[in-house]
Amino acid sequence: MHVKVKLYGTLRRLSQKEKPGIWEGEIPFEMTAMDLIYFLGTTEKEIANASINHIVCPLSQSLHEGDEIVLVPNIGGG
Amino acid sequence: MEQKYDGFHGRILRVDLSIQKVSVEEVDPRLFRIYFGGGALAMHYLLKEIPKGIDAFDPENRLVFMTSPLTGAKMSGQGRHTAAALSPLTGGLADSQCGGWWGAELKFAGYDGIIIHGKSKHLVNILIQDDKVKILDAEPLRGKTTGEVQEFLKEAYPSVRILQAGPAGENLVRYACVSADLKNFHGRGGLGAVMGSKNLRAIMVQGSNREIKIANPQGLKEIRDWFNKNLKTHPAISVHHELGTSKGIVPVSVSGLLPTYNFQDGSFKYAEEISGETMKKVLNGKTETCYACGVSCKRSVEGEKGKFKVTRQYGGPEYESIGLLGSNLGVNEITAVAALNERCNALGLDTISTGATISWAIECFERELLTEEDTEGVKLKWNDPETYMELLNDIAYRNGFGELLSQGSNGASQMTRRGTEKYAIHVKGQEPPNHEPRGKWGVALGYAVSNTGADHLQSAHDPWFTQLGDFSKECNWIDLEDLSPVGIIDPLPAEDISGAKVRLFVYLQQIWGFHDVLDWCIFTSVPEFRALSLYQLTDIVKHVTGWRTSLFELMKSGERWATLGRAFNYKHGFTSKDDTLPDRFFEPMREGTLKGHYVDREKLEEGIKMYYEMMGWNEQGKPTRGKLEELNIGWVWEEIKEL
Repeated sequence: MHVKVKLYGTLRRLSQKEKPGIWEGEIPFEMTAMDLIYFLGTTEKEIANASINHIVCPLSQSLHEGDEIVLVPNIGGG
Repeated sequence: MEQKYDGFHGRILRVDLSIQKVSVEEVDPRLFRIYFGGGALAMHYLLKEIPKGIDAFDPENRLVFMTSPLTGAKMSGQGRHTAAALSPLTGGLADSQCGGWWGAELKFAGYDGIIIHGKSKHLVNILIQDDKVKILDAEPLRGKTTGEVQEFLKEAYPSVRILQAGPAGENLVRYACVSADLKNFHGRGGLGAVMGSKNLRAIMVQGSNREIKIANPQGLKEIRDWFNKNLKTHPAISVHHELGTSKGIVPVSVSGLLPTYNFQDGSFKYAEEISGETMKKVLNGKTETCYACGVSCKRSVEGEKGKFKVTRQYGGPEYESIGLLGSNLGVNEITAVAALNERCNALGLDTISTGATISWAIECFERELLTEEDTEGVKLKWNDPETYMELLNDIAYRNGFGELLSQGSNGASQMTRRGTEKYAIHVKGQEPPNHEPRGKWGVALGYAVSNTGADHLQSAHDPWFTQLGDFSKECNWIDLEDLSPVGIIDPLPAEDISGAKVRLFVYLQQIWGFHDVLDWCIFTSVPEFRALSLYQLTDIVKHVTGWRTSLFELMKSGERWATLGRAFNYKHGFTSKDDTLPDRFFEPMREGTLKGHYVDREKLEEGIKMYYEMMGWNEQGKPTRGKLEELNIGWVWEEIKEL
């Protein structure tokens, strides 16, 4: 299954080298947004919100072919 | 002049502009030990010297610039200084910290601070070159942009660092800012207008003693080396270096916390288009830094699109400016946002209050509470940056409709009435920055009780403290454990104002407060970023000053800062009734991820009451005599006891 993940803030470190802020590719099995977070190498503790195809969703939501997922961390003030 | 004490000089420059007199005041070193510096030491003078009942534009208002013992030491995070005065925007305290290089330069010139009072008969600049201090005619500079003045002064004095008010300050726009070398700002509270009211355009500083004497250079070097080694691999700091504060636009919008359309919504459809990521690509975003700082998070942009062009002369927009000149005005293109930011900087306008005052006018126009008669023919609508660009000039020079807008949203709505007051989003007269409080109630409490009006830097923001931390992970910087040295161990929901949340807020306010009295940047340390720990911050103070101090004492300095500000405001007529939010934040959010969320008014009021109790203030929010004595500022009681 092919998905595109847009990564913001501290999550940007998980992006592919040639694509800052992006992880795009095949995921090896059916996943929820929560599975994807672990697959990318972090935990839900770092995630403030996720959206799939521009709609904010719970992390239990399943991913589908061609989905665009946005993952954002908590941001403070400054 | 040889530095007298480790970390500081014990010398303050006094300038009376009415009689054009300059003098140097030796300061009892105990004052630095009690207050540390920054906002707290500035308030020591403001409280003692500003008479009750005066207007902010009265020559008797004091404008204080202050540093701390850490300013100018070779370490990331110390490149800030304070400006404080009676605010023309709120009628209470203006207390603002600014990054850059000016504060360090002032220390190099042999001074810890400057107190300015009186009013010059004509526009002047102050030139400080070590012991030589001159007051120079600046009338030929009247009306010129900050960039023009910077170029003119730099040609005559190439090595000076320059603080200046812009045309907006000269014209007493109530939210005029003070610019430091064009790219750093005392943005809030109208400090530029206080400069303008004194007929002071710029303060130039050049120092020859470029090494701050400190008690334990080796100790500081060890922390500096540790920080410099780790910041390169620290994910929060590395992304902050790459994108700056603007990295937050999309995450905050997705989380429903991005002020949009005059704080009606919390998510902006075009957040990506005005994000830091887009700015880097479209405007060739580069990084700049403050004095001796390795984080290097300042923006520098250039580019052109349509009628908008930006250059690197004024740096680039930060997160707050992008929100208030972008999403909150419905502007969906980053070059336009950057151009509006640049124009504000050139005119000396605070980007936050400027954007929020225009958004107030647009909403009122939409609701037919303002008409073309009021706007002098300007048709106001969202996402119309060309019109906003013209309005910026009108505000700064107080032409046409800009005359009304120059008063800020509260002032303008009070002059207009007709129900427009409801759409002026402000606390104590100051408009909120780019953080929607309906999804983080600690920020709501901070906005309400802040002594400077709505201010996002009263404490760290709630979402960071909603989960237990996990030190087993290398990359997890939302840890409560970082705050465990002060006894904060339990996660709390973001939309909560329980006793536990108020306690969290009080401790965080003390931590934020000691950052301000040390003029220390939150972007190097806990809890904004998990970099320097609370213990390391304490050690830095020890290494610089040689004082046998502690985290306890730093926390107390933050509490003292908050209480001094409260006493100052109390002296100038503020009471508990001023500690509240605009109605909009008590109403359900219109759109976005947090659609329908609101701040519970009763719970907030209960939280404010509890905050007073924890702070040792009475039900009117007035500091008690016992609390003042406990904070070693018992003298303050004489300033407020009769009120």
